[in-house]
Amino acid sequence: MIFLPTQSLILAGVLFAIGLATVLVKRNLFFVLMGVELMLNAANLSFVAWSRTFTGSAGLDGQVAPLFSIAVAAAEACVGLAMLLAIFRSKETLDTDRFDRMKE
Amino acid sequence: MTNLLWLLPVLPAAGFAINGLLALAGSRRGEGPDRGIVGFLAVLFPVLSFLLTVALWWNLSEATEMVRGQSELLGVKLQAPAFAQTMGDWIRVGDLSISFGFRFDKLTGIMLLFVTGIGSLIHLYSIGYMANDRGFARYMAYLNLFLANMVVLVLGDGPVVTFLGWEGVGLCSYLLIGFWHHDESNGSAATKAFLVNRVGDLGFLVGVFLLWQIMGPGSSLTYEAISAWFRDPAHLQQLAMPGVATLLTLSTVFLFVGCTGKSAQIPLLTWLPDAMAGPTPVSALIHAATMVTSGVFLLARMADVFVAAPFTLHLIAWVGALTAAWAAVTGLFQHDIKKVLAYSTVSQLGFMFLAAGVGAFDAGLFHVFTHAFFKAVLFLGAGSVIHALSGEQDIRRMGGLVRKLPVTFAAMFAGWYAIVGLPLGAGFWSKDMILERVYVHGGIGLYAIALGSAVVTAVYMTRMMILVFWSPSRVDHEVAHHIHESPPSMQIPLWILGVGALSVGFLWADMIHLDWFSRQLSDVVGAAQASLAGDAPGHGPSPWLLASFGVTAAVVGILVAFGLFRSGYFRENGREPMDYRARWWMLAFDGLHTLVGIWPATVVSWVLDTWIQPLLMGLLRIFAWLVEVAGSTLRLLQRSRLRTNMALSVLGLALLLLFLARELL
Amino acid sequence: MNLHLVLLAPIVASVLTLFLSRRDSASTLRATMLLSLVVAGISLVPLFGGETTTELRTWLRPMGNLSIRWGLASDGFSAWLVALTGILVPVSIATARGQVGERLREFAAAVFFMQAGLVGVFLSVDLLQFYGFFEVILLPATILIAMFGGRDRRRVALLFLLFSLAGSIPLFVSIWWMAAEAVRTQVPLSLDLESVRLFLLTVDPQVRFWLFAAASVAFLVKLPVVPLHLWQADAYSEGPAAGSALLTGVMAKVGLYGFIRIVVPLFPVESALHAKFFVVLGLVTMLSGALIALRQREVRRVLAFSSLSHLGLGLAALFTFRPEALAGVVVLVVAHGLSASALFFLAGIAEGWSRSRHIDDFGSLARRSPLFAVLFALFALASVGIPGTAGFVAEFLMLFSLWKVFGVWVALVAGSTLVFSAAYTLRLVQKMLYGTSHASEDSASQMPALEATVVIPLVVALVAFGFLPGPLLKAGRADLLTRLPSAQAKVVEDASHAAAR
Repeated sequence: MIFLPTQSLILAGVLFAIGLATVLVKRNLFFVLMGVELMLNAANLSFVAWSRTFTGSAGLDGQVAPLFSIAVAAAEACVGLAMLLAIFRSKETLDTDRFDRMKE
Repeated sequence: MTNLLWLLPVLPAAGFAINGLLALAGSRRGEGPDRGIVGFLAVLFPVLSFLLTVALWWNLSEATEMVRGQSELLGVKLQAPAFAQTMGDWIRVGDLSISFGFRFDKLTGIMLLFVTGIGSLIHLYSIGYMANDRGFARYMAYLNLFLANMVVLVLGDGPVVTFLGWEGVGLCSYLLIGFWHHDESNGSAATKAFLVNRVGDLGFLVGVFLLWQIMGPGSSLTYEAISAWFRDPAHLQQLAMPGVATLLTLSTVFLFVGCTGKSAQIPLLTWLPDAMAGPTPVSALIHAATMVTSGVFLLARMADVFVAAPFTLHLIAWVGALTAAWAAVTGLFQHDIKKVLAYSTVSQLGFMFLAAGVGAFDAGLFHVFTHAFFKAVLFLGAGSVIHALSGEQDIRRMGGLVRKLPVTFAAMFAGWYAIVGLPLGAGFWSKDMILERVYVHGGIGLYAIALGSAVVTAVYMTRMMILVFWSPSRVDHEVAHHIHESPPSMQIPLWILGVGALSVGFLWADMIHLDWFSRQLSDVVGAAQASLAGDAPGHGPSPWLLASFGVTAAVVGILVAFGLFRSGYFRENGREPMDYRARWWMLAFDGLHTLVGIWPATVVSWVLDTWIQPLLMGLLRIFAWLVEVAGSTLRLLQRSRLRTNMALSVLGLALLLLFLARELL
Repeated sequence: MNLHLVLLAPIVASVLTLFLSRRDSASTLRATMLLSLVVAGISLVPLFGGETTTELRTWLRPMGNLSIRWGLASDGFSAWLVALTGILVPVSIATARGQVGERLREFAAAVFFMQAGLVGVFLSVDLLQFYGFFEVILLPATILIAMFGGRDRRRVALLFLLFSLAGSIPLFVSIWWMAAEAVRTQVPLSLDLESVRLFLLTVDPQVRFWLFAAASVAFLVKLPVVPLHLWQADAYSEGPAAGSALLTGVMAKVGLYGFIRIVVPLFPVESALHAKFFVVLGLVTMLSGALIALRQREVRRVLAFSSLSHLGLGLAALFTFRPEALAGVVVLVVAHGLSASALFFLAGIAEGWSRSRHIDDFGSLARRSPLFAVLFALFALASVGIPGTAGFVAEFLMLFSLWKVFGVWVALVAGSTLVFSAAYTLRLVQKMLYGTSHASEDSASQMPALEATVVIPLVVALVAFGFLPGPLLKAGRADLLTRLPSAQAKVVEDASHAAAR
């Protein structure tokens, strides 16, 4: 019988949902970034969870991919935080609703 | 000799080119180019043309005599000779084969003799008349160009070549009427003339096309071929068939429309009185002696065609008669000396068309010939008067000029004597010839109208003479001081033409058996007239009787005029009787044109410009608006708030995944 | 002589122009004039070569059995159009001096570019090649309007561009459809005109009608005809006069050329079937153009509607398919090309003097500049069709054919152009040249020598062709509509493609 990592996936899904909700609801840019991190980690969790189901190299893929993901996430977080700092310095605020320069 | 025909139009054209260039070159200088040189050249080329015409005529006469002799000898009717020259192809494609051809026969010769002759005289007159005008060289250039085109018109060997000259003289008429172009009303008059002429020209073209159709495709469209075709008895059979007959009537009617345009007959006559805005020599040359007679010339040239279309001939006769009558009456109301003469010209042209309409082409042409002399002298004399009175043209402010302008008076007297038809003047011979023919071939109705017109002619011409010469002076005092007789350059033509007005009539004084003129034309129009004369009564009343009617008409008219305008009636009122109601009569045809042509065009034009164009643009804008709406709607997806954008992206991604999942599973 | 030279010359000229100095306008003028005269000379050569075709090279093979060819061919008609383009470019550059000022370099480059496109159109042998050049023309034309135009130029340039593109898209779709069809049915098809003609014979008539309609639309927008003419008055009026002259003088003729070279030969059946529609369309255009022209208050708008009117008559006459009509259209193309563009050139010069486009702001130009007045009047008379000018020959032939095929009443309607064209043209002449001056007395209103020198040959040509239209008549030979110039071309298969097969 194929092993389905149900609980892990549920957890990953819940984490993803929380992350998504955070991104969409929160106005503070910090929280948006945190939400993105959360979503990334939820995806990593799901990768790892599935690695149990597959055997051989496919199974290992499920553990190697998150490693890449974490590294990239870290880099992205750095860049994101740096940009956040720059934005805060120029705009004095981190309220995303106030960043409306790109409208028509 | 025949290969010199091309020189006839080229000589005045050269004058045009040279004077035109001189005019352009001298346009920067204050006074313009040297008048002496320009004047000399301007007269030289027409005179050369005239001399060449005389030489050609001489040769042609000799040749004709020779052929006549041979005819008698052989007992066979040989064809009359003519000089012909083809300069090369013009338009040759498909069914069309038109060359630049010239043809000089007796008809051409006569026309050219007075066109170049009187043309030269008027060029000479212009030197004096236009001496102080800044645009002297330009004027002379235009006048030369006109002469060149008129020669082409007359000399062309087919309708299309004639058309080249036909439109060309229309163009020159435009240029010369609007010569003093700083005054916009002159420009309007010129434009009006050009447009009315153009309507006629369209008729001309369509008439030619239809003629082609009758003669069959691939036929060469020269006058020679046309005459030969229409004289061929076999073809006459063809013409009797109903379909072809209608076609012929249509063709000739359209051609006649062209003639009415050029010769200012009903209904295309509105331009001629307005054309008086141009310099007087122009009025004399173009609008009296030459261009306006082109219509009659065309009828004579294609006499063989027209006699095969009896309906059209009737139409022509009636139009001519009615025009003669209408214009004569209108002439009574005119105060401008040139307008009197303009309406007089229209009226006399009516007589010529009337003659053609009853089949008397040679009589019509004879009147063309004599009219050229006496109308030209009247116009030139009027010009002399205007010149003497420093530009005054209103006859109510003239009078008593007999002693002050004796030469002018003598010349105008000759012209007046001729036109009213007093005995032995040129008009007596030509007009009475027409009246006689109308009586015999046209019936009593036409004759009555013609005779009535003759009476009215006498009335208004005498009125003019009275008001200008034979009444006490009403000349403005300032002007009166400067009255002087014209310079020699103006007087010489007056003398020559005045003598002509009295004497050329004798070229065909039928009643005393002088018929040189008609003999010249017999080769050209004789056949056509003979075919018509068949159905006329053998004997009319005595020509002397009819002539006496004509003279009586003249005398009656003169007496009426004296009665009305010399004595009390006029002196009391200080102003003329029959003044204001005249406007309706005078502008009747202008009104017709406005109703039928100008208003519809203006209305359609207005609708198109104000409604249809914006409507179409509006449709375009609706289309653009739709695109804009679509764009705006889609743009709603682009929110300014970061969060909303992200939410939408996520939504879209979710939908995509859902869709893919459904596809895959 | 290889026709590619005729195509390359303006391209090279365009590139060279961009290297000229911007600051020294005198030397720029000299250089561009020199270049344009050289290119003009090269453009005249095909006239003397008779019918020539370069080899057809297979250029692209997008799919196995579909090939797009490249080749250039010139017969009488194309040669005259190429020559006309060549002659008008120097005049355009010379008269543009007053309108483009410092930017003559860019102007000349754009004009040369447009010339290249036009030459390409007239010499193309392959349908897609033709289409490419057809579209390419739009680019410099839009640039001319957008860069050198009047106040409303952005909107008008956009209108012109979008309208023309919208019109030519159906043609592109047709080409695409044919290609797709060929691939689908495994029929080998090359897009040179002769092969397309043969291919179309095998296409279902229902579909072929839509292809015919699509192809026609592109050229109807180019001519233009009512109701697709909305872009024209604005474009001719808003752009630089010297540029608009080329638009009306040559670009509009592409419309007629398209019908003669592409629509009628490729779709003979549909053309014959729907001839009456096009005649009516042409006559309606002619009348509308004339009547609207009577009401216009700007000089170039009058001239724009005048063009509309004259070319409408040309379209109507074309669809009589008579040899006289074809000859007449050829003469019309050259005569109108010369006279209409000359009027635009002169109008541009006059507008420079009075700084206004409104007809009431001129007046008495005859007094102030006699040379200008004479030239303007001569070209106006030529456009009215006075006998002795080429315009008359064209009108006569066209009227004759319309009468021959459709009878008296159509001929009368068509002949009304004689009266109407005289009406609006003389109105323009009166307002501009005669009367009293409404503009301020400007002493700088003398016709400059350079402009006069380049314009005079045009009027000489008009009068010369008026009396001796022989060469033009020969170019309008009867089989112009049926035999394509590329029919007997040699096809060169590219070695690599041949090997790949």
